[in-house]
Amino acid sequence: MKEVYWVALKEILSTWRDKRTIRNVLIMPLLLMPLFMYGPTVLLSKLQTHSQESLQRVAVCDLPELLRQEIKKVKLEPVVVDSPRSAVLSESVDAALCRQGDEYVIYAEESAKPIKIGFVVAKLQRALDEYKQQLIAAKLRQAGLSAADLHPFKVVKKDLSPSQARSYGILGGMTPYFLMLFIMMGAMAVVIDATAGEKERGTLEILLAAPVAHVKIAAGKLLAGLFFAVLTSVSGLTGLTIGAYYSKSAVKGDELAMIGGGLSMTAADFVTLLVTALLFAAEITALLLAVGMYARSYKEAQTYISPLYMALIIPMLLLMFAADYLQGSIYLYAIPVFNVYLAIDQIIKGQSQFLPLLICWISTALAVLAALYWAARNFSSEAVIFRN
Amino acid sequence: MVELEGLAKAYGKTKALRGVSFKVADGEVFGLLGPNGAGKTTTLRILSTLVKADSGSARVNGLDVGTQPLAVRRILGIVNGGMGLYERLTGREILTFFARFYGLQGEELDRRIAWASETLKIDAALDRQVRHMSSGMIQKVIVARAILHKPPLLLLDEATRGLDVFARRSLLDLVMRYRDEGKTVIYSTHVIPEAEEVCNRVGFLYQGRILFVGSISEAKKRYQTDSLERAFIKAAEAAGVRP
Repeated sequence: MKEVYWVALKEILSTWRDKRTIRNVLIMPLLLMPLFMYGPTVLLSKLQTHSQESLQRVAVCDLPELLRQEIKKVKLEPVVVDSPRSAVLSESVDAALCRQGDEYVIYAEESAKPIKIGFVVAKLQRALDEYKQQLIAAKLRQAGLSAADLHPFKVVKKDLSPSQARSYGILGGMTPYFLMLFIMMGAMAVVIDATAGEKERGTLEILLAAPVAHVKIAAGKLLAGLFFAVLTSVSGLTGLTIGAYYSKSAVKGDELAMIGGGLSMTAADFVTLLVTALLFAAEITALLLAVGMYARSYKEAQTYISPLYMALIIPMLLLMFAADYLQGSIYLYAIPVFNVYLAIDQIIKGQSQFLPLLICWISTALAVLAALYWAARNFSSEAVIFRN
Repeated sequence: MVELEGLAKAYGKTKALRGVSFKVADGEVFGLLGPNGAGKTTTLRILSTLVKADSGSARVNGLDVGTQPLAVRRILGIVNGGMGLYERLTGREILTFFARFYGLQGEELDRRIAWASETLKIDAALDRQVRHMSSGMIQKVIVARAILHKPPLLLLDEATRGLDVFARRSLLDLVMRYRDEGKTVIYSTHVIPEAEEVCNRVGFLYQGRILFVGSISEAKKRYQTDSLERAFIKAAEAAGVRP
């Protein structure tokens, strides 16, 4: 095993001394992730406040005076026009509201500018709701009824999900993606250099001709890749956490839950997440090692690794859109890569269970061994080593 | 020391070796001569256990290169012209990294590094990262790495490729010193005058076939010429292959 350690140490030292790599894989995630989390959140919050407080112009036609008053109350400036469609399309107003028979129609280019126009449309809807309530109240009074007669009972919704799941938010959903991204970044920094880089420099032949089993060389390189994958993940996730922490000051309540700023985990879940992430990092690093050996240069290695990256994203997209329907089947926890996304999703929500997690870990460990075996075979295959 | 018998190797439809046989005794510098594509590198890669022969056998010190690769690698030192080094490691770190695989550690390792440094004049390279070294210095460190464990067999494959006159001279002197110490060297090159200077015996390899094996004087005598280069060309013509 000493040989594995020596190979790993050599790779780590080589990478550590490359300032550009260290800057890209360790420092950048730490600096950029808070910006990623904090920047858009604060921006969105400020835009929302600005939109609430500022006055926007809306075209109106054929509206009763009472409704116009309500429109003014929500800080909109009604402008009477003949053609609401033309007014909106010419962008002289942000939206338009017209009565057509029994209908009130809102005109807006909402899909084109969903955030800016969305705020104005929401204001119009609030004004319409208020106006509707006033009409209903008036009719109820005429009929000798009170507003309470419209609500004979209350509906109370209670979310029984664990508090962790309730604070899951966007951050929780994105964590597997970011984890995969950080692992790829860290592992690639070592692995491309340790495979295609060795070939390009002409050092691979010396190394493979040394009296050490090629599987130990592969294992040493795997260990070094894993080391940087973990470092980059720690750096990136620390950046995300810092970003989430500061986002708390910018948004509150539902919005905070939506972005996942209130995300928290028990110590047991944190350890479980750590073990899962470590196995996942080993899996990705071993795969990169096996694939990277086919390349003859850095450039070629990147073309080989891109499809692998895509292959890692597809199961995540599947999980994003169908997570609720997929988590029931225990067999899914045996599918490499997908099982990790599934497990991480459950761990973050505080809903992980022992058996699915165990299956996930065993499956991932077996995938690591298989990928390492594949890499070791490539280190001994003359067709791969001397590929020309 | 080295025994090759009927070695054959093909890469797809290209036959790189077609039954190569020769022996190299202890203490010999054996020149494996031939133009580019003759099969020299394939022969040395089989000896260094990185490539497997399709048929035939190769033994080093009685060890079969196909079935005992680790044992064979322990007694080999290899240098080829296309080799490089780890750019961000110092000369000393590189020598230490490889030496450990041969069981060298502690004071013994320090002594060997000092010896290699003195032999090849690489003191300045020991504590300098490879990316700050000249190409001649890099080649010297590559050679130092190959001889650090004092292997009984040194394989040199176009080892002087790209070297300046000083580095080339230094390498040729080392080969002669190695020979004088009773160690074995297989010196593969297409620069025939180099082989003439350092080799006891030579083998002419052309298109995967051995055309001649013997001493330099035997080669000149057989092909009735005073130039080893001309002897090689005549051997190729006699075998029915023309350059």
